[in-house]
Amino acid sequence: MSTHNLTVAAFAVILLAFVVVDAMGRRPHSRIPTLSDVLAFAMRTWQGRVGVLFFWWWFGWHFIAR
Amino acid sequence: MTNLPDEGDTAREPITAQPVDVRLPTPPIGPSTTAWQLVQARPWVAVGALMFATVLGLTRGLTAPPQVMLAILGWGLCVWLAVRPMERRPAPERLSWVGSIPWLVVILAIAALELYSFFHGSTYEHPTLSVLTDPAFDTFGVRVAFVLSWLAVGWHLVRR
Repeated sequence: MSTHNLTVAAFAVILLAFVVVDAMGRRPHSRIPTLSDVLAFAMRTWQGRVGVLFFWWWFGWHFIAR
Repeated sequence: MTNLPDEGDTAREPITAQPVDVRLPTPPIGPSTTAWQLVQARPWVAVGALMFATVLGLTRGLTAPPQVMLAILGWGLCVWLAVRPMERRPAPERLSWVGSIPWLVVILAIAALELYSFFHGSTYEHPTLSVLTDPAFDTFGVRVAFVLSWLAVGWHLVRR
C-alpha cells in the first residue's frame, strides 16, 4: 500500500472515530461527553469561546478560500 | 339555493369588516433552537444563507471575492456577538477525564497526521486533508453544501 493510500485510510478511520465517539457519548448514562459538550466546556471562558469560534471561522475560510 | 337572505332571516346586522390578525405567532429563538428550526421560524435567514452559499459556491479559491466575503462574515460575527450577546445553553460544569480520553485521542490523532503530512510537503504521497478535498471543492454543489453546513455548525456554536 502506498503512502498516499495509507494517509487516506488513516484520515477515513479518524473521521469515522469522530462519529463513533460522538454516538457513544449520546447513549444514556455515558461517561463520554458529546462533541457539543466538549466544545461548550471549552467555551465557558471568553478566551475559549473566541478560540473555538475563530477555529470554526478559519476552518470555513481554509476550505473555501484556498 | 341562493346567497340572498331568506324572508324570515332575523340576522339583519350589517356585516362589518373586522380586521383579523391571521399571522401566526413567531416562535421564540431559544438557546436550543437548531439551525433547521431557525430557518423554519425565520425564512429570511434561510434565503440569506442560501444566497451567501450560492455566491461563495460560484467563486474560486485564492481570489478576492471569497476572501472579502468571509472576512466580512467573520468581523460581522464578532461585532454581532459583542453588541448583542446571545442566550446560551448551559455548559457542563465538569467533564469526566476518563470519558474525555477518546476525544483527546481522536483530536491528537488528526492533529498529528495533519502536521506529519504538512511537514512532509503536503504532496500527493503525504496529503493533508485540504489537499485531498481540493478536487471536491472545485464543484459548485460541494461548495454550497459545505458553506450551508458550516453556517449551521456556527449557529450551533454561538448557542453553546
